This record gives sequence, structure tokens and C-alpha cells, in this order.
Amino acid sequence: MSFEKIAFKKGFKDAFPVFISYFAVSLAIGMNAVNAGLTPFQATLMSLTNLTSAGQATAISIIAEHGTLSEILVSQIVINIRYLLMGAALSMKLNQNTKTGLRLLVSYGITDEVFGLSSAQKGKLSPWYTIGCWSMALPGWVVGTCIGSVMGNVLPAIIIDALSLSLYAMFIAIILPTAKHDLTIFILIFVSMLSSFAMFKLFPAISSGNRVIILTIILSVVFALVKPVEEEEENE
Amino acid sequence: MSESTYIYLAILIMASVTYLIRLIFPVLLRKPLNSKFLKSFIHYAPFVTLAVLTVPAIFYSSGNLVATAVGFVVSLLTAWFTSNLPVTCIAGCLSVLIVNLL
Repeated sequence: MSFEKIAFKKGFKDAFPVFISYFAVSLAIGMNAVNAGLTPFQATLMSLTNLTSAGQATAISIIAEHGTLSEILVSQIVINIRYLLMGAALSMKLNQNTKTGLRLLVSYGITDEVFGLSSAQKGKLSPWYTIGCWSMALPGWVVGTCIGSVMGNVLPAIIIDALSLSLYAMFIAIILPTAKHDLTIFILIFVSMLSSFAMFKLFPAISSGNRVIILTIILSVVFALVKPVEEEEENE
Repeated sequence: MSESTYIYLAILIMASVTYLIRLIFPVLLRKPLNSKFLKSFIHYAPFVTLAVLTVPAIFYSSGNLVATAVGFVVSLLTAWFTSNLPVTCIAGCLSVLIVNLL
């Protein structure tokens, strides 16, 4: 078996838990999308072309409130800005001579989980590993959205309620582990949640999309100035 | 514009900007990011974003406030003690289901 195939298969296998989580979460995304006025086709298309949980959830809530396209644009930039750093990290981990076509393919599937798996690989990253990861994760995301968008209203309310939590459980599962060994992050998460709640109560006229934008910028800037992140050398 | 046009434009805008962000470094820049401030900003941003997206929306994710509050706490505890993504999702969802059944 060629080196590329081995890398692909490893990525594909390693991403199986991600497939499961994405399926569960995307069921709720599909349901929310339809409730916001999207057709099942539009919901599925959104998931296929975006592959973002937080971004899609926010866009769907903006669409539900008939927000402007510029609000959608800005919200996506702010919410997905972390992919910029992930792309930078993965880019440094790839071989310098990796072809553009493969880089384009790798970039498409950069999600929190795919990034996590790819970063954890020792030494240089084969682009095929990352492609294998998202090849496993993507169908979970797309099929789950499709099923959620079609069946959402057929499922019993009690099941819908339970599934609706999965998106938030995933957000928590992404951010909390880092807080265990990083006090700054622990404080940041706590402050963020508190600020979000306070802003929601004090300024209810500000949409959730705008609230995310405002708080992300303010709190990230404050923390970046007060406690900049120290350089870490990449060890090969 | 029609609802349909609005939605397709939204999808197009979202997908374009998201993919662009993803490919800037691997495809276009291919060089490391050097600004300490920007690196720090981007390091902290996802924690704020996801935290703000979670609270207070999680409490309104279904009709029963008690159920979602329990789901919130269970998710926090499970994530803290297992650091496992699918387990946290399943635990959170199950806790909501159980509270609703009681």
C-alpha cells in the first residue's frame, strides 16, 4: 500500500468518533435550519459547503431573524477566525513541497476536530491524513443535517429536545479540556459566559450574532494585550 | 429579494469566507504568522466565541429550563473529567432526555 493510502486510511479511522459527534450535532443543525426557513436541500448544501458547527448555528439564527447579509459575513469571519491559526499551524506541519491542489483539499476540511487530530500526528503531517479525517467526518455532518432537516418534525419532541443539546455539549467539549491546565483560559471562558449572559439581559436588542462578534473582539483583544501567548517552538 | 435568493446568497457568502480563512496560510501565505498580538488574539478567540455561543443559548435549546440546566452541568462535568467529545455529547443529550422523562 502506498504511503499516501496508509496516511489516508489512518486519518479516516482516527476520525470515527468525530463522525459520531458530527452526526448527532448535525441532526439538530438540520432541524434548526428548517425551523429558520431553509429547505432540506438548502440546509444540506450549507453543511456540505461550510462544515462549521458554530458558524452554521449562528448563520441559521441570523437567517431566522432575517438579519442582513453583512451581519452573516462579519459573524462568519469572527466565529471562524480560529481556522486562520489552525491553517497556519497545519501549513507549518506540512512538507514545504506539498502541491497546491493537496493544500486546497486539506484546507477545505479544517475543523476543530480535524485540526486536533492532525496536530497530534508526530513529525511532518501528510496531507492525506487530514483528507482522510474529513472524509470520515464530512458524511456524518452532511447526512445528519439532511436527516435532521427532513425528519426533525417527525421525531417525538422529547428526542428533539435531547438532540438540541448536542451542539452546545460539543462546544463545551471543545473548550473545557484546555481550561483544565490553563488558568487563563479557564478565566476567559468564565468571563465570556458571564458577559454573554449579562449582555443578553442588559441589551436584548443586540442579536446573538452581534453579541458573539462584539464579545469575541473585545475579550480576545483584552486578553491578548494583558496576557499574550508565549512562543512555542515546533519540535520535529 | 426573495427568501430563496437571500438564503442562497447567505450560503455562498458563508462558504466563501470560511474557505478563504481556512486556505490563507496553507495555500496563499505558506509562511508562519509572526505577530504576537495576532497570534494571541486568534488563540483566545475560539474560547470566547464558543463560550458566548453556549451561554445563554443552551438554556433555551429546548422548552424545559430545568432539563437544559442539567444538560449544561452534565456537559461541563463530563467534558472536564473525560475530555472526550462524543462521550460529552451523548452524556449531555441523555441527561436532558432523562430529566424530561422524569
